[in-house]
Amino acid sequence: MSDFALEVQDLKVHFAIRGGFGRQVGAVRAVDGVSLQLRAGETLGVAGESGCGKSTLARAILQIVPPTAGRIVLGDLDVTRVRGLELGRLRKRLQMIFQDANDSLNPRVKVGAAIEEALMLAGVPTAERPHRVQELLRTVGLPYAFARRYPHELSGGQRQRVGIARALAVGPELLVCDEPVSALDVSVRAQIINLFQDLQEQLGLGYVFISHDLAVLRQISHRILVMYLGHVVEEAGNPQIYDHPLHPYTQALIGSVPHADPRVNRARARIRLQGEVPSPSHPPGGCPFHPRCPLARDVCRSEPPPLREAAPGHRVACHFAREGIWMGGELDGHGTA
Amino acid sequence: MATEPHEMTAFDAEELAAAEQTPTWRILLGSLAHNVPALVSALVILALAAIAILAPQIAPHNPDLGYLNGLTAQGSPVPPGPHFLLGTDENGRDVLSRMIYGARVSLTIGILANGAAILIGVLVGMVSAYFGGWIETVLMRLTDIVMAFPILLLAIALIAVTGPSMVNIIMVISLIYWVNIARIVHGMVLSLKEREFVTATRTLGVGPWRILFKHILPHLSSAIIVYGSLGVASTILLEASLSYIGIGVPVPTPSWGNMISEGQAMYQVAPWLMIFPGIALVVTVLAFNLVGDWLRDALDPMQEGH
Repeated sequence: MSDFALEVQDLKVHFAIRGGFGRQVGAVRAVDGVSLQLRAGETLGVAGESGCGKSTLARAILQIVPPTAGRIVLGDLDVTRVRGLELGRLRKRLQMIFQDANDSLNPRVKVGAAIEEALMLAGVPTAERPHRVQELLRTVGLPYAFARRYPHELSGGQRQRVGIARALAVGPELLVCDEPVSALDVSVRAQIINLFQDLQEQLGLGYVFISHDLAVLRQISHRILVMYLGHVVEEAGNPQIYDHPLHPYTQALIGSVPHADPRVNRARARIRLQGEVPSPSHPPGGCPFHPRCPLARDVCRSEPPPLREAAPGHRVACHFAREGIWMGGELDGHGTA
Repeated sequence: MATEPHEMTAFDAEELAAAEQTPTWRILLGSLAHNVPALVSALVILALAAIAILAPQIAPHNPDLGYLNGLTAQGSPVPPGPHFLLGTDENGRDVLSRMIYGARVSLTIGILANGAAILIGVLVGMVSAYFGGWIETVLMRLTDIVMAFPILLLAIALIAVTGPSMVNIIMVISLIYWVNIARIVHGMVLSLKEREFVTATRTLGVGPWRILFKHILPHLSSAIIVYGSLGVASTILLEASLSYIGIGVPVPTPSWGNMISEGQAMYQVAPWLMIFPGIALVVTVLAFNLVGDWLRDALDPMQEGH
């Protein structure tokens, strides 16, 4: 019996690299041991740059991509490798919002028909469906007249609302949102984030909200998880992770968000991460971040740091985690100030 | 209860105005008006269809009857003249009437055989591409095998087995021509199934058959329309070829192909017996080809939201 709405335990998703004759010669370790917990009605933000595995994590939770190892537990139901009817049941409780609503909606299908199809899956009788479509459209802030339209006849924000309405049609308790506002104009972004928050209040939805944009996550998340190269490097509550980031990577990420006041920007130390993100098929040994980390020492190269609780509700995976790594001129080990 | 109603901003209104669409058929008609060969071809096809449908009303004479005044005193065919507009054949039958009924045969067989070929080809292409695995391997190898045979030889072999009749000819031709559209559809569905809306719909829980027919098939519509028109040219020609070598539509039913074949013997005495059906074939095949080309070009830029 779990008191989490969703719990992921040590999830690994590896994609095989095949050489000649179909033999496996390597693996892309997209997700390499990620654990997370989500409480009902809360938002867990997942941050990280492109290639860190957050999209793969989302798809593995929904079984779009099969997990290689680990467990996914929805409430008290182990849904790690479900097929058939059980997969259907999983998808009634957990749905996904995709990044590009332009592509996640069929351009040849009218918006109302797309929502009705989802209602059909939910077992809503035919006569009731138009009424429910109207309700759903209203819930996401769209007039019923839009049901007659094709996706290309809607603006980006409106399309994303339709995507949300369609996901809600099957009645999930949890939504995994894969960069849902990244493709939208900044002005529209705020509207959609507000919509997500309103829906969470009204319907008690839980979200796993994936975004590379820390500013967005700051608005909407209760807790935040930072990923790097398939691993969780830090996890904390919302104000804590911004106020007291402990992992060097988290600090670099947060430091890279420009401050509105240019004087504050200029006063801050410049953070330069050396090097590039390594390929997930050849991850570095030990701590995945060590090639770019200013604190790296021998132990970092050989031993992967475990995710340890550094403060109540605040976990870090670093041998030398502390605040203010980038501030001031003195740094342990090599690295630029 | 609901989130605040979405106010239409100025940006929304602009984007929506830009996205207002002229209906597809109007765009097509507009493009047709500028394409003289295609326009003429479309009219020709319409005329042919009318002729085929109204054959009993239009034909001046009975196509199966040999008329006494259809043969000269020496017993040879009468050249085109006031009574028999396109002349008569060696049995005294009116060529024009036979050609009119021949149009029926050619169009019926051509359209039905092509339709059946498209049905088979689209199904094979969709199923093999979407389900993959051994299904795909088996179906695609089957496609390769059929494609490897020379068309006429394969047709002859199949007709030899089934025997020539209208129905058998339609069946045989469709069993030969499905491969082209199967290949095309296979390729299209392979890329379509990677699109995010397919992933999204699968995640919702929609079953594969519904996805194939309600979501993927609409994207194949232009390919189907183009093959629907271009393919008729090929099927008509194949039927004519089969009738020409004698294993097509059985005499005495007139087909342009068997008319040409029968007229061959009398070429020097009565050239009109070969020439007119020949012209009819050329014009028909050309018309379908031109319309097919025009449709393919007109439909191409219109994919996905114009």
